[in-house]
Amino acid sequence: MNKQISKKNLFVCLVISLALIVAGAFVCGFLGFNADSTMSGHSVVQVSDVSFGTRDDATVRAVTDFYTEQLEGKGFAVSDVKYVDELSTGIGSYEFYVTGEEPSDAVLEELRNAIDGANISGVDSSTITVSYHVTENKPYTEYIWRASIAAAVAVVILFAYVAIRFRFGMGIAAFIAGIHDVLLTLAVVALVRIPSGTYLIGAAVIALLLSAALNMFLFGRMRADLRTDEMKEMPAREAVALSAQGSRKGILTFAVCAAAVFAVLAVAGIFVGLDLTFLMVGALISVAVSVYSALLFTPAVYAGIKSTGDAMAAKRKARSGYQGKAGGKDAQSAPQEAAADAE
Amino acid sequence: MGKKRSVALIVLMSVVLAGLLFISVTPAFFVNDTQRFTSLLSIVDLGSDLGTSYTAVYYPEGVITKEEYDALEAAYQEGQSTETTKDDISDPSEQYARHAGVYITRDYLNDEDDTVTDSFQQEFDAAVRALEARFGAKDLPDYSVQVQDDYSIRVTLPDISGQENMTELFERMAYSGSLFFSDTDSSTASKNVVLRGDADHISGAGVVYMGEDTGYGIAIDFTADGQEAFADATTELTSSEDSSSGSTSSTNITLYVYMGQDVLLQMTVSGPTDQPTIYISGGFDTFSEAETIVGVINSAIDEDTAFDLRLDGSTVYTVSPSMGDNAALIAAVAFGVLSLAMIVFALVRYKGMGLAHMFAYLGFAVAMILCISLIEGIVINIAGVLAIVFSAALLCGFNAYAFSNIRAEFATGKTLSASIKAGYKKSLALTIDVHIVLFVIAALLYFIATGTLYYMSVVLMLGIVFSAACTLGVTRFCLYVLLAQPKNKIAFCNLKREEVEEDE
Repeated sequence: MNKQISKKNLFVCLVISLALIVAGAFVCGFLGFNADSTMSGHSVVQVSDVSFGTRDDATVRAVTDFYTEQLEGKGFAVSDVKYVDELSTGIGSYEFYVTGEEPSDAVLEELRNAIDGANISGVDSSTITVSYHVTENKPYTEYIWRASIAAAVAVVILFAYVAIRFRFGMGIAAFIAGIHDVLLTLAVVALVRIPSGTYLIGAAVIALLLSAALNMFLFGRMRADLRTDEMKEMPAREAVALSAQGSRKGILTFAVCAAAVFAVLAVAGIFVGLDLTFLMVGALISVAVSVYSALLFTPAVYAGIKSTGDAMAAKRKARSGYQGKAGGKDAQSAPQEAAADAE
Repeated sequence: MGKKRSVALIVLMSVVLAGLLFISVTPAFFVNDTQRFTSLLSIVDLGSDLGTSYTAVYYPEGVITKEEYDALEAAYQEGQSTETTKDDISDPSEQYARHAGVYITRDYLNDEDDTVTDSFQQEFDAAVRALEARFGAKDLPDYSVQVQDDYSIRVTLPDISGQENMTELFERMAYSGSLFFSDTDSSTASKNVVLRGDADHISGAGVVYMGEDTGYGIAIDFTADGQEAFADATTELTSSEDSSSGSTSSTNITLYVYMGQDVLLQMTVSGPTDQPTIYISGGFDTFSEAETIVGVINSAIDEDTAFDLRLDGSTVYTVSPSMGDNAALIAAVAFGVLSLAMIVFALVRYKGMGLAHMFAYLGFAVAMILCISLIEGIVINIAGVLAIVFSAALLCGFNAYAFSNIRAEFATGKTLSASIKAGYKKSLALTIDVHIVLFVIAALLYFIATGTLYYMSVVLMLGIVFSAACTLGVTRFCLYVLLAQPKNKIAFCNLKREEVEEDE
C-alpha cells in the first residue's frame, strides 16, 4: 500500500493541520493578526513643508534622510516614510511612521529648528512645521464578515458540484479540503506573525480557489482512472494513491506557475515596500498549503471515505446474499480488505 | 486547412496580437511635440495600494491643527507687542488645550480634568460612524477611515478623480445636521421645514439613471407616512401660491433637500405629488457623484449615524501608494518577464503545441489588459494582481493538461489528428468543470463581498472566462492553423511514439 495515502498518514496530516489551526486560532484570538502598516494604528511625525510641491527629488530625499537620522537619534524607530501633497496649494508633508514615546512640544521644536543646520538648499525652519499624530485604525467588520459568508457559501457550492458531477465522497473530501486550506493558510500567517492587512483575505481567497482547482483536477483524473478495469481490481487506497500519483505533475505545473510570480513579487517587495513582500509570502503560503492538501491530505481523506464506502457496500450486498462484484472487489473479500486497511 | 490559408491566418493573428500588445504595454513616448502615446496599461485604474490615493483629515469645529494653533500664537505675540491691539487678541493657550497632535477648544473640555465632554464625545463618535457608513456605501476597492489624535478623522481613498472631483467628494461626505425638505433657498438663514428627512418619513435613497440628457439622478423612497406628508406639503405649497386671488390652480415651486445648512438637491414641483418614490435629477454626470449624495442621505436617516458636529475636510492631499512607489510597475514587469520565461519553456517543451499556447496566452493577456483598462469601474489592487496571476496559471495548467493528454493518446498509437481530438475530448469535461466552479465562486464574491474582494472578483471572473475561452477555443484553433504548415507534424509537436515490443 502507498504510504502517503495510508491511514497513518491521514492521521498525521490531520493532527498537524488541527494543531496548526488551533494554535493559529489561539494566537489570532489573543493577539490578532500582526497588522501591517495599512492596518495598524500608528504614530506619525509629520514634517509639513510649505514649498513641498516645488522641491526636486534630491531635496526630498535629503530632507527624508535628515529627519530619519534625527528621529532615530531621539530614540524613535522609523518604519516607513510617506509623502502627502496638498491638492490645491502644493504644501506637502513627509510622514515618518515611528514607534516610541510621544514627543513633547520642546522635542518637536528642536526637530523643526534642526533643519537649519542641515544645509539643504531652500529648506529651513521658516518653511517647516513638525507635528505628531497618533492614528487608530477602525476595524473592517463588515468586509471580513461578508467575505467569510461568501467563502462559506463557495465551499458548500464546491461540495454540491463535486458531489453531483464526480462522486459524493469526492464532494465531501473537496469540502473538507476547502475549509482546511483556508483555515490552515490563515493559521500559518497568524502563527508566523507575517504582517498583514485587508489584502490577507485576498490570499485566503486564492487558497480557496487553488484548493477548488487542484482538488477538482485531482478528482477529475481520479474519476476517469477509477473507471478503468485495472483500478477496479485494486483496493480503494491503492487505486486512489496510484491516481493521485498521476495527477502530481499537473498539480505541480499549476502551482509552480502561480508560485513563481508570487515569489518574484515577494522579492521585488523588499525593494519597493515590505507590505508587498508580506502579502506575497501569504500568497505563497496559500499555494504551499493547497499543494500539500491536493497531494497528501485530500487523497488520504478520499481514500478513507472510499474504502469505508466500499466496505459498507460490500457488507450490504453480502448480507442480502448477493455474490456479485461490489466496488470492483469480490463482495466477501472487500470487508476483509477494509479491515486490513484499518490495521 | 490549406497552407496558404494557414499562412494568411498566422500572419493575421500575429499582426493583430503584435498591434494589440504594442498599444497595451509599450512605455509612453512623444509622437510629436504635442502628442504623447500612452499605453493601455498606464490608464488602468489602480487602488490606493498600487496607485496614488487621496486623503483628507476632518477636524471638528473647535479642533484645530498645530499649524493653526501656531498661527494664532504668532498673532497673539504680535498683538501683545503693540499697545493698541494688546487686549484685542486673546491668548490661544487659554482658548485651546493640546491633545496629541491637535488643539481642542476649552468649550468641549470639562473644567476639572481637561477631558472632553460627553456630548462632544457622542457627537464625534456619531460622526465617525457616519463617515464609515458613507464611504463604506461607495464600495471602493480600498479605503480607510481612521481616528487621528482621538478627535480628528483621517480618510484615505483610492484615486477616483476620473469619476468625481475629489475635493467636492470629501466636502460632501462631511455634511452634517438634520435632513429636511424646504422651500426656502440657501440665502435665507431661517428655513421653512416642509418635511423632516428621518426614518419616519424616508426609507432610503438610491441612484437612478435618468437618460443621456439628464445623467444620473436620485430616487428617494418614502414610508407611508412620508408619502402622505409629502403629498400634503406639495398640495399646500403649490396651491397656496395663488390663494390671494382665490384661484386653486397649481404653480411651480422649488423644493430643496437640505442637510443642515448645505443644499444636497433641488427640484421643481408643479403640483401635488403623492407617490412612494420621487426622482430628482441632480445633474450628476457620473454614478459616483450621485452615489455620494445617496450615501449622505442614507446615513442621515439612520439615528446611529446622524450628527450635527461641523467637520472641516477641505484640505485634500495626494498620498504615495501603500505598497511602495513603483509596486504596480514592478508587478507588471515581473509578470511580463515570467510570462516570457513560461512561453520559452512551453516552446522548448511542446514546440508546435507550445506555439499555439503562446498565441492563446498572449491573446489572454491582451484581452485582460483591454478589459481592465477600458471597462469603467474596474480597479486593480494587489488582490486583483493575485487574481490575474491565478487565472494565468489556470490557463497554463489546463493547456499543459490538454497537451499531456494529447501525448498520452499519441503514445497509444493513434494518428496525430486523432490524438489531438481525443486529447482535447479527454480534457474537455474537467476543464469546463473547474472553470464553472471557479466562476461561480468568483460570482459569489462579486455579489456578497465588498471592497477589495469585490474588485478582485471582477478581475477573477474576467480571467476565468478568458482562461476557458483560450484553453478550449483559441489554443486548439491555433494548433489547427499551425499544423497545416510543417511537413513533419509529429516532430513539430515534439511527440514521440513509444516503441512497442513485439510479441515473440
